Amino acid sequence: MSVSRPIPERGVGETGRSAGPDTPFDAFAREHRRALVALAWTLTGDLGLAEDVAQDALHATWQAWDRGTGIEHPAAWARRVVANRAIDRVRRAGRERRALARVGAEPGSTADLPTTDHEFWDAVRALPARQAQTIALHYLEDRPITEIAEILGCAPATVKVHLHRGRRALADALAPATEEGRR
Amino acid sequence: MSTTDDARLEALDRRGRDAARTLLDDLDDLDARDLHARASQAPDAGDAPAATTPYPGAPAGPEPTRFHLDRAAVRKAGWPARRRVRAAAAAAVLVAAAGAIALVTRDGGGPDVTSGGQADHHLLPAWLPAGFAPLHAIDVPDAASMGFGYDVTVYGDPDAADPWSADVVVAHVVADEELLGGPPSGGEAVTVAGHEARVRREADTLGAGTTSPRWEVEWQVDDGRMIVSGALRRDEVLAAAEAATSEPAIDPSGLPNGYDELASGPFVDSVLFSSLLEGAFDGSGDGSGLAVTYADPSDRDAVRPAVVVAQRPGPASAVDLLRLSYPDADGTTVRGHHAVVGRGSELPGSAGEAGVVAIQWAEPDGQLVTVVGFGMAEDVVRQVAEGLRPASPDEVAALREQDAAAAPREFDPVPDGHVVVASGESPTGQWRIVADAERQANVGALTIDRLAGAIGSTSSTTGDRVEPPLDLSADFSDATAVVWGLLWVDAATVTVEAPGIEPVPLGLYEVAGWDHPVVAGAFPDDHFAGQQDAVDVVARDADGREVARNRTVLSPDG
Repeated sequence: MSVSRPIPERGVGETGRSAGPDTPFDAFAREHRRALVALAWTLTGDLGLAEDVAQDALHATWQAWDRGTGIEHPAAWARRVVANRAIDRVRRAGRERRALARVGAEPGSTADLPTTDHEFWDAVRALPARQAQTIALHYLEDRPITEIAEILGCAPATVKVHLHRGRRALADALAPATEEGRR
Repeated sequence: MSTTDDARLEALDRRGRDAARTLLDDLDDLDARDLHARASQAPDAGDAPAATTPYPGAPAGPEPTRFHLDRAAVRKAGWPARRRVRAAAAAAVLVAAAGAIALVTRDGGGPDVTSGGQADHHLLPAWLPAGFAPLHAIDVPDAASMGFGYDVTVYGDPDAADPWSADVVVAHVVADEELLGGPPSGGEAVTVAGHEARVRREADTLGAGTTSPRWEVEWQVDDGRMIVSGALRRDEVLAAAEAATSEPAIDPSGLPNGYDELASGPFVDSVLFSSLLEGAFDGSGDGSGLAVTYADPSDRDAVRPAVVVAQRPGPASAVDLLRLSYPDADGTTVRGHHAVVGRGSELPGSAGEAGVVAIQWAEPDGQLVTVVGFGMAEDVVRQVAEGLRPASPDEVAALREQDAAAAPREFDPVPDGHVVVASGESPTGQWRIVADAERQANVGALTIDRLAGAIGSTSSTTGDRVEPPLDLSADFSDATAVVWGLLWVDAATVTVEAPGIEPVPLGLYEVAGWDHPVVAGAFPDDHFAGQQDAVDVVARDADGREVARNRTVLSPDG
């Protein structure tokens, strides 16, 4: 399945952070950094880790951009790197998490994101990895299935399956709260 | 889907959109606070040296890492118990690598080369067969960090001519029930050390390929399974099971006279290295292990020779566990160390005729090294092993960078007269259905080609079976089931179905010159988990009336 058309850039605001001459990559990084951090956070649940993953992804994108190795769709590519590395980092962290649990360390604070629906995103993170990635891209950026498939490098049919199963699992996990929210 | 379901999902969608909005708002607020704080600390933010940022416009360094995690699960229900446990090992390792397994060779988002720290322990080949080059370099996945373990201890008579000919194996499998696929089943119910257990007679148990009959006892423990398997009498194996502990170990009182420990360590390796050939992992380890696949990049044959050099921390006592995966095994010496060389006729994940030779030993610095040659002569594999040399961290980093920048693999062009009917991707590769358009419409004129991982490649065609109104075939590998066939009646939709599980639609494809359309589609291999590996494929007309139905098997053996 080939990547045949660019993914439109959407829904990501600028943070207005850089100074000095504006290169095309500067503009790209400003435009997408927040979305990449958000995607990484939805998959890791840790803001520091999310910043780290997003930074890694932008760094990797910058290197590829700088090499001129032809990233056809850098926005999709950067999201793919974030989705992969976030899951990878979460799993690497498993051992450390258990070590922290043994010594009674507290998990990450939610104070930095006071209005965020942590219960919802916790439930997303409880899904199998591919479902979590699909759900995060679906809700976070309202991307259609074809774009999610392009980002994750799989067939649209596979995305549909993950999305369907993920939404049902989420609905089950969040049933009381979601139904209450409707009343 | 019921109206109630629709309402629940609509409510979920509303909540999901709100959750996204509040998260992005919070991040915006955080950015604003961060900018404000920086402005108050540094009167001229533009003075910050650009060289300290990893990319233009990068924020300051990340906050301290905190962990708040959940773990994915894998279902493999419905498989035979032995296969299920072994598959669970593979699945757990795959889970440890999930998320990016398809992408490491094609998106540049590969292993974090800065996270290793032990690269100076790694060995790389000083000699390779002509034309060989590195194709795939990864961290060895760390299944233990996922809460999965498969530790094994093997006992035998060290004074026997072949101590491994009448071995007793005790295994402690640590995993969730979901991963293990349900409680032990089959055989006869017995009680072992107060546990309900099953005892079975098997010809092929932990030692894959072993043909001598063995007895196997399996029971549940709090964190997984205990398995005791032995090429001994039933009562002897039951006695060993009574004396088993989760270490895992067997008290000498439960063993035949003269038996002693032959080997111990993690057993998951044998499954791991089978899968390494398929390249089905990304860098999910902690950087202490490394596996590099070498082959001739210009050789596009499905069974091209390849060699994997894999290393990870491990005890010297685990060296001989290679014998469990390769019953045709001998002790030998490699680089001056005790080693085991195993030979097999099966090439995992690819064609079966090429053969495999695996050599394993322990380096003095605590690294277990395994060199696995696929389709290569034993003396050539040994030459690679003997020629390993210490690698520099830069070399290892360069290998991983090269892997990350590698182009995706591509199929060969289809032969004249053939057309690609349908295609898609699997976690580590691709599949396509090719029709021989010059033949009559027939499922036997359809071929499935698959690429997986670094070098895995298969191509298969069914026989000329004709089963109107819906002729089917299925292929199961690389975590993806592909179903295809020929539809002999008019239909608007074709779906793969099983009770209580969301149907998967198949596509309908026309082939020029054929009177009947091809149906084809793919889905994750666990989508129909628990269906005893068989599903219905149903064709319906535009009014939703069923016009054809057939059944196909989705198991790996199917």
